Amino acid sequence: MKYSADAYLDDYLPAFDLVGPPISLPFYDVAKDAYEQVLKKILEIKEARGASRIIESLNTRLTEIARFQHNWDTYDADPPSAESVRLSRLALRLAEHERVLPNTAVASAEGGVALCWDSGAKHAYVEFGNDGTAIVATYQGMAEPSIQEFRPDISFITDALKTVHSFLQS
Amino acid sequence: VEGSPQASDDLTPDPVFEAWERLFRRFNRTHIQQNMIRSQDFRLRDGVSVNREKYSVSTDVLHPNCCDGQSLPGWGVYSVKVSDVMGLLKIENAEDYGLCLMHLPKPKCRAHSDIRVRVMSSGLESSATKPVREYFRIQLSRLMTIDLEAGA
Repeated sequence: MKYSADAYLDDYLPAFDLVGPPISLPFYDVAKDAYEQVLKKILEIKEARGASRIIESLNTRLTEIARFQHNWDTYDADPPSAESVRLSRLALRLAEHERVLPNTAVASAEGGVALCWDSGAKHAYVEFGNDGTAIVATYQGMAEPSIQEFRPDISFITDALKTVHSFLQS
Repeated sequence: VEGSPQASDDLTPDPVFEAWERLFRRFNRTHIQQNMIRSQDFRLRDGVSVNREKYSVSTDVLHPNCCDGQSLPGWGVYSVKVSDVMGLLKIENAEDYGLCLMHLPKPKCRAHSDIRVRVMSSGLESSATKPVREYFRIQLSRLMTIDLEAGA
């Protein structure tokens, strides 16, 4: 029977995470290096596959948000503009490149879309407003939030994502 | 008003908000994170709509009279205390900003009120800059507590 690469990974990746190299002691050091290289590659593949699933799910969410009508929050909120959704999709692609994928995307009651990151007590978001503004905000626990407005183009969106990345890593 | 014991046809605003009063809002589950309301749930540009406790109980905010006739099964309710809202301050470009409360009764929802940004020195409402509004949105999201969980 021929295995697809995906089926192979599904069947064998979990086992690779749990067991060491099946090799006897005299060859252990040599085998260990090779094994670690293989394991690193496998983990990269797993990460990439996980990232694709997250991106697919966030793009689906953005499609749902793009269909929101006026009063979607029952408090008269405007629907997100097509431009705010487009910028969110762009930011999502850039976030993949920066390896800082958001946890979710939400519509903003101020009009617009936000990509959000939540990691324990740390929270961050990048919000694209219907009015053409963009904000990156980071905050942790009850500490003072950091808030910066930026121009929503590729260069500044990348900078905003880097801000989020270093905040989450700190 | 029939069906809503807390409502009344009296549209006269009552400007006195008691420190103990809670301010209620409804939400659906897309706007919570780890049991905290997301700041994206608030629209400070025009004012955040709330129901005040002096003229309502928490679940009145889900009553059709306070939702323009809509029925909202599965929505939850969160709230914040007046004293907490009034304690928020932000200094930006040498200007002190805070939040103010306005009682804006509606024909079938006497409890309806707004949370708005104001300049502290003059007491006037302000169309604050986006970063200032963002600051208050985040602080409000931290202060809100969930009274009724939203369903799936």
